[in-house]
Amino acid sequence: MTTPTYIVGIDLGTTHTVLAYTKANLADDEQPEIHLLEIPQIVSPGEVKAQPLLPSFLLLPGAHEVPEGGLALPWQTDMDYAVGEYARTRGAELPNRLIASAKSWLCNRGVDRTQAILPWDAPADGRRLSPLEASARYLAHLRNAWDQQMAQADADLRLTAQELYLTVPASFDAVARELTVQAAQLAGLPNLTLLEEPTAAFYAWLEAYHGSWREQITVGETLLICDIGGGTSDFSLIEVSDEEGNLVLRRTAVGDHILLGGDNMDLTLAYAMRAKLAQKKTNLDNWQFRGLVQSCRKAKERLLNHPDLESEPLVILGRGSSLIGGTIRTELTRQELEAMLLNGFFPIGPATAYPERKPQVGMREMGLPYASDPAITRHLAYFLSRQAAGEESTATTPYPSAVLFNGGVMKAEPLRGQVLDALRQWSGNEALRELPAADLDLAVAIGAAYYGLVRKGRGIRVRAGAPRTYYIGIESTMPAVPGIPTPLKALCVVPFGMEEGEEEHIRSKEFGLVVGEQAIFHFLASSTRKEDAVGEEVDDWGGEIEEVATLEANLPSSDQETGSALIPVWLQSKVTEVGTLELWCVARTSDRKWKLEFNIREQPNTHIASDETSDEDWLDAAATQEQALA
Amino acid sequence: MNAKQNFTTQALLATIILNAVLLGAIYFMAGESLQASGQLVSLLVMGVVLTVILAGLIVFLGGRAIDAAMTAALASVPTPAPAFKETPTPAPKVERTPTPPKPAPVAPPQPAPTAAALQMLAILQREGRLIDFLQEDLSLYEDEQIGAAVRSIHAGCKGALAAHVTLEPVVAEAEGSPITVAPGFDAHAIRLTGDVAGEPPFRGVVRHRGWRAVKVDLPQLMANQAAQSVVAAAEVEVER
Repeated sequence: MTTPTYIVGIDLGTTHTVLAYTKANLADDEQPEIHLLEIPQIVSPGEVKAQPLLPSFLLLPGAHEVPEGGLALPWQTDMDYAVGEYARTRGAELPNRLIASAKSWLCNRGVDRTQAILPWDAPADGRRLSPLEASARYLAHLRNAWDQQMAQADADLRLTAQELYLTVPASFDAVARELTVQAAQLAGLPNLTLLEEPTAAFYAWLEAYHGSWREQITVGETLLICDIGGGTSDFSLIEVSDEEGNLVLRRTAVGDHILLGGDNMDLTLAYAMRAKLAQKKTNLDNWQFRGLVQSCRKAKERLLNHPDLESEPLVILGRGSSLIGGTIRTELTRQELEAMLLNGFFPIGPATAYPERKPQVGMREMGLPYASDPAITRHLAYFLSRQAAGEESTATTPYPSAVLFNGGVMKAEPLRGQVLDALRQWSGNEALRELPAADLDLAVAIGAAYYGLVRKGRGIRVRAGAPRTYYIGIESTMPAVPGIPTPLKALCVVPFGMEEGEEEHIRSKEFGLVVGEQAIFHFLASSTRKEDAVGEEVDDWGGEIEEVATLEANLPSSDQETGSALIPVWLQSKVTEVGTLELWCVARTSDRKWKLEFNIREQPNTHIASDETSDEDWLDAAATQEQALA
Repeated sequence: MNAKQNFTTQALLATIILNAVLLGAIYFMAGESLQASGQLVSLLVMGVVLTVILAGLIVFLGGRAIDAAMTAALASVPTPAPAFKETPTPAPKVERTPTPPKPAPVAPPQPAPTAAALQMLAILQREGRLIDFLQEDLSLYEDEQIGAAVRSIHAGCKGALAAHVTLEPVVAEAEGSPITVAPGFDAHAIRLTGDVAGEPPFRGVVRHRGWRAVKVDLPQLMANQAAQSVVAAAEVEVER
């Protein structure tokens, strides 16, 4: 295989996908230049425009909704689905044909992610795809766009032959990462490496300040990466330390995948404005409401970027051709904006104010597990406090001393100011500062491309490793009691921070697997217990460990074993170079090994119990909310 | 130019050879009698001089004829209209735009010239509802109502225009500031009003900076879309 010419970073975001690339082989004194690929996409039937951002929306039109041949692309004329700008705008009019937020479905454990379930509310005879297939189509669109623009004549310049880095949220667990890699393989991109998004944003910052970043951070500091995009919020902590005279950066903590972002804010404003109009006896239909959401987004941006404006008019033009006669007017005042956004989403409360957990109602609608509490600062407080809970050495919360912001929502200066004020109040550190960043939409893709250069030795590497501690659940040997689930012990198989390429053999515990039968293991994870070593058994884990998935292995019988022979095996864990997790059962008496596969089908709500069950975790794992836009 | 050079060399050769033959013939036929009367040398000299003059005349006239023919040929070929192709500009460090030359995508057959105009109208209608606005009868409304709607239309159309056409002023000077129009100015770019007399340079005041389209970046039209006459599709809301 020829050496790659380009290093490519792909940000497969919840609302936007971006591809950045740079030359792989640079001379020593050459400065790297990172470019964005202009991705051709349908903007209107029959019109193709190249833009650097590809909205992560997929439209599956029925037979009569799009003119025939209207979705033709330069590389394929007989397209029957659309990805990108047109999918988003037309899909807003046809919500049961639109797949949005496929990425958030990839880490939703409550559904079978390989079955065709999206769009979630498609009619019975409507077209459907699985979240895996939808993500694969976004990547395939990128691959075709790249091949068409960069690799017309030369097969070595195709995307499959380049060095590829795909970003995933740091909060994605091992199963979601595995699915992302599968989606890439479905899209025809088998060779890739995963990189976490907050780390990628940090690399983009390192690249932007390539000469002077060492002056901006000091040894002993903790940096918070606060990534709030259109649909998700993600937090990470990076520690700056000194090892043998060298500056070392290590990613020490990741948060949960919180489905809360800019779209929630726009909807909140729109609902409030709709209520205001209803008081004046003006009711909006669905089309007008969508127009109101768009106007609210623009008015919000204007008010946040111009602190001297007191209010911003909101105008919804009349439907049909009597624009002016049917125009509906209202305005968004700064007071309302502050009350809803700043106090609703970024309230500055005490450091112990954690997200409210709404009690669960018996029947709930399945869907994406949206966060029940919209206050992002409370989620941040919870994330920071959990880091202290895991460490036994220090009882204090490791507050950061500098914050790097990422994501479209954080472009607004007042919102950044709120987060900084909250952190300053909690930590008592008035000198808590912001690391200035540019390109908040594009930083993740640019950082991923820069990471490729870093791996070649061009810059400092942020040590990451496994973002969670992973365990296998072992049932204690106890007599069965009907109605009470057998308590599990957790055996640590992957310690926190296990680096890529490392392998561990867990010889302390042996399991007996029955030949010919399927073996099922419970797979558990913790983001706060960082001190557990490989092979350690944990009896009493409180709220710190939660179930991720089940692992299965099918042992085919060979010639030697017949019937239901029992084979003693021990476990072997490995973090691959790609960034995914592999667990193997290795037979003690022979050389045979069997790989444990993640069961990505629907997880029944197995109420697993440690010795101390807490209803809170169960609610946490299953908290859903009715989808905001009906 | 090659035609001219060819013609020059060929004409010179032909003239010299033929006149040499003529002089040779005269010498052979009447050489002795001319030599006797001492006019041979003068005859030969006259012959050479006349050869040179004849060659020069032929080359001059022939060259002019070739030039005239060539300009006539060029004028009859229609000059293609200036096409606005997206020129890949080298990316400054801050702006992340693609630098390497993009090979042209497989181009669909050229759509009709009005297609681009209709496409622009369709974009302005889709993003800013400009056509709906222009089709309205404004006499029915108060200024205040119109003003409110226009803000929204302005925002939409402005965004659409900026995304597809990059405009810059024709003259760099601000409005109301003095300007000197140099000789040889492009009358398409600068329109003179007022007391215009004589020859440039003219001194005047800028009343409108003008607009020049620097870049036009319309979405690519795929060939199989036949309904070019539809600027905005009718919308029908389907009920159960």
